[in-house]
Amino acid sequence: MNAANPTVSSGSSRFASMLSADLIVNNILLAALAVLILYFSLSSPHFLTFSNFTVLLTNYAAIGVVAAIMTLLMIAGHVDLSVGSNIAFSGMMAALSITVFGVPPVIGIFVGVGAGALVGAINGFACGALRLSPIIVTLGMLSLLRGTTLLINPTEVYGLGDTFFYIGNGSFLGIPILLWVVGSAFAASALFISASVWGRYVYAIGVNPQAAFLAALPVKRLLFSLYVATGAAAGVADVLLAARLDGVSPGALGLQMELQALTIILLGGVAFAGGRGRIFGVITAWVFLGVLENGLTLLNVPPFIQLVASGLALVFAASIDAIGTYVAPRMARRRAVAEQIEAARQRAANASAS
Amino acid sequence: MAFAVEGLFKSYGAAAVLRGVDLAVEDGEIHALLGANGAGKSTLIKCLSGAETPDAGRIRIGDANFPSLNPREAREAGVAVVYQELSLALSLTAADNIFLGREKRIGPFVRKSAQRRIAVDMLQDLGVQIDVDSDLGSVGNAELQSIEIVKALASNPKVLILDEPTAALSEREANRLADRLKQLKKLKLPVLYVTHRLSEVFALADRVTILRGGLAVLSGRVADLSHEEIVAAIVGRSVDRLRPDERNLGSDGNGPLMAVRDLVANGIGPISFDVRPGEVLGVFGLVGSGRTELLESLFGARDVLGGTIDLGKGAVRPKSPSEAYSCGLALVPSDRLRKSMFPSLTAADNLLASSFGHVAQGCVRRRTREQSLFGDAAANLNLQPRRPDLEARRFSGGNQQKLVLGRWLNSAKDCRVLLLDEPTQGVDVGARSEIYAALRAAVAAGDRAVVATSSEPEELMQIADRVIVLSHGRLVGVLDSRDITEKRLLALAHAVEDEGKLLS
Repeated sequence: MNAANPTVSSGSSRFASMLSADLIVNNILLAALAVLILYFSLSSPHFLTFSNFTVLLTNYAAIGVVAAIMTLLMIAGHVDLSVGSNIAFSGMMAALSITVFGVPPVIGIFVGVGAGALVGAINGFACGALRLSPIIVTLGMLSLLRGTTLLINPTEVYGLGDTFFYIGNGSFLGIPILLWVVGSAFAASALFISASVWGRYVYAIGVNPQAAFLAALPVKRLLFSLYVATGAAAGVADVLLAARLDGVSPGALGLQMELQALTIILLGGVAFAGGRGRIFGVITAWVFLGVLENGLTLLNVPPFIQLVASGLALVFAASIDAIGTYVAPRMARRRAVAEQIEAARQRAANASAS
Repeated sequence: MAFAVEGLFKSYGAAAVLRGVDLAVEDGEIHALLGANGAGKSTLIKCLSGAETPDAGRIRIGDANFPSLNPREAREAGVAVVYQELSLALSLTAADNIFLGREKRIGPFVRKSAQRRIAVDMLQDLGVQIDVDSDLGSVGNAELQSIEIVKALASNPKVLILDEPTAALSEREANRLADRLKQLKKLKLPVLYVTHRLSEVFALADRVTILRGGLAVLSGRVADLSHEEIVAAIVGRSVDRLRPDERNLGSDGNGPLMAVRDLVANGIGPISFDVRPGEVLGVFGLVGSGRTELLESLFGARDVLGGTIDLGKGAVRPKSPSEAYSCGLALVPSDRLRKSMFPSLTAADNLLASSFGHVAQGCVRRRTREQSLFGDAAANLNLQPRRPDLEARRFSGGNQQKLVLGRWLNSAKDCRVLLLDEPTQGVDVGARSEIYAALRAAVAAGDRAVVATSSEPEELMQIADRVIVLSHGRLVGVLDSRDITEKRLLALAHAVEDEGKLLS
């Protein structure tokens, strides 16, 4: 930010140290990830290999798709807690359409994504248009959808065919299909936020919805669309999971994935209240959690400790936010003082020169 | 004499706000304090409540003298202040509220029945009839304000200060409250009553003091004073109109740029008026007269229940700001922090918020066009500092307002009628004149118009070609260029309450 102003950035060593402090606060997670990777690669010879990282990321692909899209919703100050059950619901719709109604797998995929988007539309109507509380509505939707899925079909559905097997296990150009999908999701999300006009509106709505409304921005329409997109992302995630497991279990598919997605997004530096966050941070957090789980498994750490670790990561995320709100104004003040001093020095230099 | 202020001085930096104010209130007297905006009323009250420390002077309460007070000393000395904003917990009962923080108790247990008994007695003394056992959610504004007064009285004050208790009330509610305030005289307590409504002064007060420019310019018994004398004292010397150019507007036969017909919304209307091309139309009114409601209804931000707006393309009734914007309307709201700023976003994001779509290719942003648009708008408005990447909250109030103005006054999309609600609230003097200049430049071409509200008559005298005056949600008068004087504005704004006594 300050580098843009030539009068200020002209060589003050104190200033440079402050810039780097800024850099660390913004990229603290990236540094933690580097330390984590270094530690695991020193501890286990199998960790830092191409095949291990492929496994690590494909295991996390489905949740990555949800996190990538839900990040947009959360920057706009909303949240969808129903994605976990939505994955089971739309997955069941896709699986039943193939096994019971015998539609082609491609149509089955569309059914899954469509069912997810439909749930998103209901959430979007309630939270975006009617302005009900997102937490209450989507929390209700979380248990409503899980129950509905179990009512429709209480048993597991197997045998989704070759297309699904290919999606779950195949590769294209040497890279697993799952990674292509999650990569496109993150790319789409990043492009949306930085290159489209809607990205600006998302931030504006997250910072001050009332002001966004009075600035003639399409607040309701955009929020509705973001809920639909998040629902559709859950639909994509269920296809990925069903393809990998070659089946849909109504009680277990997507269980607690809403919390995982939330952990990734918050760890990635998105403010729970909205208005702040970067896709790159969310990608970092996504890899971070994947590396954490994979590395601990390689070190034969019991799964309970993995739970403790991911729990710590969430608290860590909350602390980053708190530290940020504590440190940022102080840093801003110090920066302002430094600018003042710099300006005064410049004035003195100009005066002595003339 | 129970309460007095002698020679009180207070200045903020170079600006002297109080310049030796003398004021004396006797026991059992309701003493009205009047003055225009910026006369020093709020500062005086802040000094009395302990929120500000006076530079010189004395405050006498009962027999004790104080050179200055801090909030705790003020409370202990017996100063009780009731502010216009309610501070009640609406989910609690009246008795709970009255004793909030001062509960009658035995050990940790609250003596509910004793509190209730005292509360009922005190409310009855003031003539307030409410169910003391139900919460305050369904209680009217006048009653709530009465409960605030009872709450203040429960602390056994030696002086009671009421700061515009009727500002947020409707006329009928204000009358109800006024009846109760008369009961206060029985308490033999000095009461200082700050108000904007002249009718209340005559109905309630025994004596009146008028502040202007930090001095008590008039003090005396209400019975000895006339309406005209009081208004003259508030206004002071007549302020000259600063607009140099008396343009001849709307007489060239063209129709109005915007025609508002029978507009009705919650709290206002029906209102009809025209906006002529190339003019700055001022909207004047006291607090609660419906200025904000009028502008927000025009912009589609509030539900409009009836009437139409015609911008030359047929009568419409915008249902949302984006609809109004596409009709050619734009609004700069009064409450910057809540209604118009995105403090943590950059200056460019703030200035271009509504224009991103207009400079984009489809929905893909074009950064060079955004940059040049920002550069142009920032140069036109003389934004300081002119940095698109700086967070908006780091700008001064005036420059924040320029960012909001630039949102509508840029070349991306022309707005035809710019609505401004208190455009210079919280804006320093230098930025003020720049904003005035920008508004004049905006209408100079004659194809746009500006509608600006203000609570400061001087401001409208400087910028407005015509002024419409609102009172209690209705249009009570239209003043043409030459007739815009402070006296006439205030007279019209007070007119409904004073039954036309002031209209000359």
